[in-house]
Amino acid sequence: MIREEFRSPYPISTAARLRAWKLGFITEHYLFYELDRSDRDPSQYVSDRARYLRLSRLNDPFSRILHDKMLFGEVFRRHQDVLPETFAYVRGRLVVPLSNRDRVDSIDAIFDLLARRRKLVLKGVRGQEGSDTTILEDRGGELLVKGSAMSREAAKRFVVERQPQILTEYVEQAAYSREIFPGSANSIRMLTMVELDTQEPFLARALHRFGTATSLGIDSVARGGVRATVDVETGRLGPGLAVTPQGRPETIESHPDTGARITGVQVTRWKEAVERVLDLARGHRYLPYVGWDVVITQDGIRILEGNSNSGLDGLQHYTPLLSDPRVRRFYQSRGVIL
Amino acid sequence: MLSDQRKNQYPLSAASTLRAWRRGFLSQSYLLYELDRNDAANYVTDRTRYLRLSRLNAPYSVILHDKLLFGEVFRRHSDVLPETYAVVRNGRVVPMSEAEHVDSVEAIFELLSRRRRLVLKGIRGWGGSDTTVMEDRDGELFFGGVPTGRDRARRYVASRPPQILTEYVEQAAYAREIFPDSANSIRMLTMIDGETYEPFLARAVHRFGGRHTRLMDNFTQGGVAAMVDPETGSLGHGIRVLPTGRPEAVECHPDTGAKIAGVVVPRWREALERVLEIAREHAYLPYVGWDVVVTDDGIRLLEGNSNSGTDVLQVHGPLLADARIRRFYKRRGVLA
Repeated sequence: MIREEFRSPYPISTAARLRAWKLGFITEHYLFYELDRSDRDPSQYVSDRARYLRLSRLNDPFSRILHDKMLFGEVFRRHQDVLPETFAYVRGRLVVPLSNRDRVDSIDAIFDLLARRRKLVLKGVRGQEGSDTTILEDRGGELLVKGSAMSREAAKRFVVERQPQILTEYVEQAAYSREIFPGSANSIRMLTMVELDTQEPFLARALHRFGTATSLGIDSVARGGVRATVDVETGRLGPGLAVTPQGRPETIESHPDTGARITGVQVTRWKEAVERVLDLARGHRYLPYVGWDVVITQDGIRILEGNSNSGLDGLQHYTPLLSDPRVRRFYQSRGVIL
Repeated sequence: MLSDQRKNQYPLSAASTLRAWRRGFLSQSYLLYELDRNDAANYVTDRTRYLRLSRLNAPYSVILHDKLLFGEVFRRHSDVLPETYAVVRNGRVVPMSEAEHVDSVEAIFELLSRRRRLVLKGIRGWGGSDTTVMEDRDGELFFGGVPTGRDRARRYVASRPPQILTEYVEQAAYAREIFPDSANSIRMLTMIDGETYEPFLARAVHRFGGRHTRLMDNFTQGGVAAMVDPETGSLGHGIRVLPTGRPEAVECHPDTGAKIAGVVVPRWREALERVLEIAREHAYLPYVGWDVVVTDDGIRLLEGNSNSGTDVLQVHGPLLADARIRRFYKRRGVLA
């Protein structure tokens, strides 16, 4: 949390910073939620302090399944229809095959597969929020790593020098999402909670993320992407959100690079997607609090990952989380909020 | 390792204990392998096992250490994994199965009355150290074979460290005939060749429970172990541990009198192939001691052990006498 505070690039007065801290927020979120406005009630927001200190316990002792992407894949791949294929575990020169269909057991085999598949994804086993995700592309023999051309030798070195990674298929998204921004697999962060009494999961919030020209093939907001709330009932996209240079929220209705309209777009087969994600949450109730990254594809959904302590800023910007009695009850029953 | 040495209950002179330690063995292993008569050089030492073999499955040995995680990772091979119904933690029961919704301590006993036998397994236990077989014999409850009142049973379940609740695996007739009161499993040690990523079976040993093992098949606590011929599935003679800590070969089970030597594990080839297939799919775990029960319709994996006990394996002969096994350990950097 302290690291996040120091990383904040936005100007703020000392008095405001102190007030933010007293309320339990880092300045970045204090500005983003506009907690200095008189019509804001900070007590309705899940604070950063609560998130870092208490929400991180919610999936104990099994949160490691969500922290380690290899483990996540191994646990969730029994739901074959929703998990992208994982081909190999890569640690230095060690390439351990994980798929029977496409056997990848060496660095060269990675590039042979890439030649056939054209796009693959390397994901740091420990990365978060796309921080260690690399798209590999083979365009008729020309290799692109993170969008930049590279010789085969350099690309091989790049792979060998990474921290432990998994190699997975590249997920092709549905048309509605490609039309908004085709340069990244645009995913929806779906936050599910499992009620303590009934052990039934519900979808608390959903937020669609889209990559931009600066986000290097990823839809990560940390890398400059944009986001839009999804109406949980209808699957319609609400207003989009960007951040001004002052750290304040800015409502946008169209994608800044493609100009494609965001607000009002209908996520295809939304009900089906929600049902499937709730099925998954129901099958893994020992993880009561998961932020799933879901890509809607032509034929269903793919789960890119699950996050144990999901970022909340985009999810609660328009409507603070604790204003929903069911969400508040969830946190209270699990003993992380008074 | 020190705590294991302190647990040693067998008499051994100070000179021999020292000699055992100098060579890297616990007193009990020294006696079990009869190192005063056999050449120690071909045995995997306890020192190596504790200090080096424990690294072999890093960083994913946690999958084998945590039984909930093991179930979650391996249940995609649904034909071989016993059904897990629930995880029980701090008196709270979280359902894990769609077929049987078990969400309270009461629901556990309700399921038990229908299934008659269920197993509670500590998420962190190993070697059967925290496994309880629960039985409902027409309304009367037995835990670990001991009659237990309903209230006590309830308290027992609610107060354990985190557990999973699984089905009781019914073994095939051949194993039941040798000793019917425990699920008798085969410890199959698989290794992944570092060059080809192909798995091979290093050794298979069939364990059988005994009168004193409380429904488990634990070898060092009074059970019997027999080596399985990897080619034919035929059992060698049984070995049990004498009160002196030395091994004794037996042809028949000491409690039931049933013949062990020469019995053939039914559908052994199929069982072995299935275990190797699974090892191949999880090649990031290059060294696993699987506990396999042969049933009437196939096999069930009770668990996988990351740093399998070597006593039950080497009491039948040293592992390092096999060149392929020695190569495996060397290539993985755990043996000089």
